[in-house]
Amino acid sequence: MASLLDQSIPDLARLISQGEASAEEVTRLALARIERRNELYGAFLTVQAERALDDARAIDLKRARGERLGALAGVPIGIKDALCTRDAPTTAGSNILTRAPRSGEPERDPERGWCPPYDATVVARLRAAGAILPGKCNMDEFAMGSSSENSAFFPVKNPWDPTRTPVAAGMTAGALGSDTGGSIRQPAAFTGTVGIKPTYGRVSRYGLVAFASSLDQIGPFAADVRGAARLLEVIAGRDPHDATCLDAPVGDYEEACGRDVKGLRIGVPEEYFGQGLEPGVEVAVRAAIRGLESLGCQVRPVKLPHTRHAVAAYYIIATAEASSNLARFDGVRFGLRVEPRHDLGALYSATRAAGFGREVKRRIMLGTYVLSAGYYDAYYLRAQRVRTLIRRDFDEAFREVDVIAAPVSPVVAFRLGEKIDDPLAMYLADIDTLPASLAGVPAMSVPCGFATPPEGGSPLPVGLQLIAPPLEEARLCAVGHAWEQIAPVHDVGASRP
Amino acid sequence: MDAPHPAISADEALAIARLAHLDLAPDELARLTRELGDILAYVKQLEEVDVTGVPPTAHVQLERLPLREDTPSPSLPRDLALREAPRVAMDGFAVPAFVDEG
Repeated sequence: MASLLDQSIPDLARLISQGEASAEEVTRLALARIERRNELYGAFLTVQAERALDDARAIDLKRARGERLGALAGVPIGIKDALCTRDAPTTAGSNILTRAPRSGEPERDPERGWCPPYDATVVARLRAAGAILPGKCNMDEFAMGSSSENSAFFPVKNPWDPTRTPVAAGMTAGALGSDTGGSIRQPAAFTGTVGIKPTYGRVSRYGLVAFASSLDQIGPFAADVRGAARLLEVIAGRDPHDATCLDAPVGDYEEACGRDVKGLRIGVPEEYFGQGLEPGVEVAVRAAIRGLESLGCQVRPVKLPHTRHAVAAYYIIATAEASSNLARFDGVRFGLRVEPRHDLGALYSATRAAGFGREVKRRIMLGTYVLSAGYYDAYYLRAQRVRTLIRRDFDEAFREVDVIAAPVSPVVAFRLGEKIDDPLAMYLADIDTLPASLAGVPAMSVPCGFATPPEGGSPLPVGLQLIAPPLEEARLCAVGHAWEQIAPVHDVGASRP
Repeated sequence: MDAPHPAISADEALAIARLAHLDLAPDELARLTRELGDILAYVKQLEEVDVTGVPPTAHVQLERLPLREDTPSPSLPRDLALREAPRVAMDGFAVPAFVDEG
């Protein structure tokens, strides 16, 4: 049923700022939905209901006093559990960031998670803009996976079909995620929401539990492009706490929604329409591209010839960086500690063996291997050279076109358990999101229809991926919003089950 | 691709697990050895790519890193830094002895 929560983020913030709805009422709605739906979907690891209500009442009080309210006043936003929150446990989906159980406590419980001494910059910026943060969202352990079934606690289920994959749809008006190889765009596509992976460095990563530092980027999820645009505007921009965060001015992303897209050149890379693409996904994506043409965009083919090597390059680079980033989890400063005997090496090895899950161990092993003496040049250095070729593909393409349009994923959401025992098959499903990650360019997933999975069943959401040159997020918003106005799935929020 | 596995042996996997500080049970090690073999066989495809003269990309930073002002600011207070430590001793993180003073 449609409610206040299904309003677009800018509309909801306006209703609250004008006193037509109270922040407390909206927060209560969000908490009630989380209460009702979380057992089924597993979208939240922990919920901070009391604090969220306190914050909401503070917003209402400010409004009553006539004070100026922020751009997200009273809007409930979910926070991926890889982002540090000073007043809520932060686990990154991992058992290694939770303290060991005392007698009588359950074996695994995200409530025992690490309590960071500070807020991530993006979290602090949301709070400063008046957002309400009702809880921390579930995730694959250290963001490693494509289905959210690698969480150490419980899997996330897709509200379109609870036997399939993720996102906190319908429980909050928006969410922040992190995208290393597609973890914003792919779940957005699978759940019929909008997700933006900004340009590498556009958004501060201070307080993000690191996975692969040359790839990680934080970005928004929302029910529509304007909502995602407003969130991005709040979180983007220089941060003295993150030296990799860019100084470039933040764009007018929300204002770009509604801009005329006539004459924009849209490139279609045939490499994204090849083997492995489900026919229903292709139909929906091609229809969206025709839709853009009907709006006056010029559609033309482009070549991204190194696309097929993206999976191999990515899984070398990302695991190498992860093996290094995850070395800090050793049982000394935070989280789990397993000490079989009084020996430092044994403390490290036993803690990490007990604290990391299967996929994380797999990636640490692969990353350690490709960085080890004798293999560094053959794997890691070669992958970095291939990464240069993938970047050059985009540089070349963007000489000819303004935006690239492609599928987000070759498939609709797959069933939980379907690929969990076949890591390679799971990795290959990321083929369409990895190239933009490796090139560091911004990309958006916007819903473009539904497709029936090959094995039958009810139709599932399909995402159109729009990719732009560095720092052209506003252009993505313009094109995504223009498409949204003529898209067959107009009001995803209201039609969501 | 049906190329023969780039032979990662159980011994080699064990050496990698030691480097990575992972104390793996024998069945876990056997499974990881097999999975690493499959993944390495797949990523071998990069050998087909001609990378002669192509420089490596280590990061995709667009601009020079901006430097912040060199002004002192307070560090994390000690009690806060130690708050989440599983074991604390003498106002520090407790670890087993690793230097032989004998």
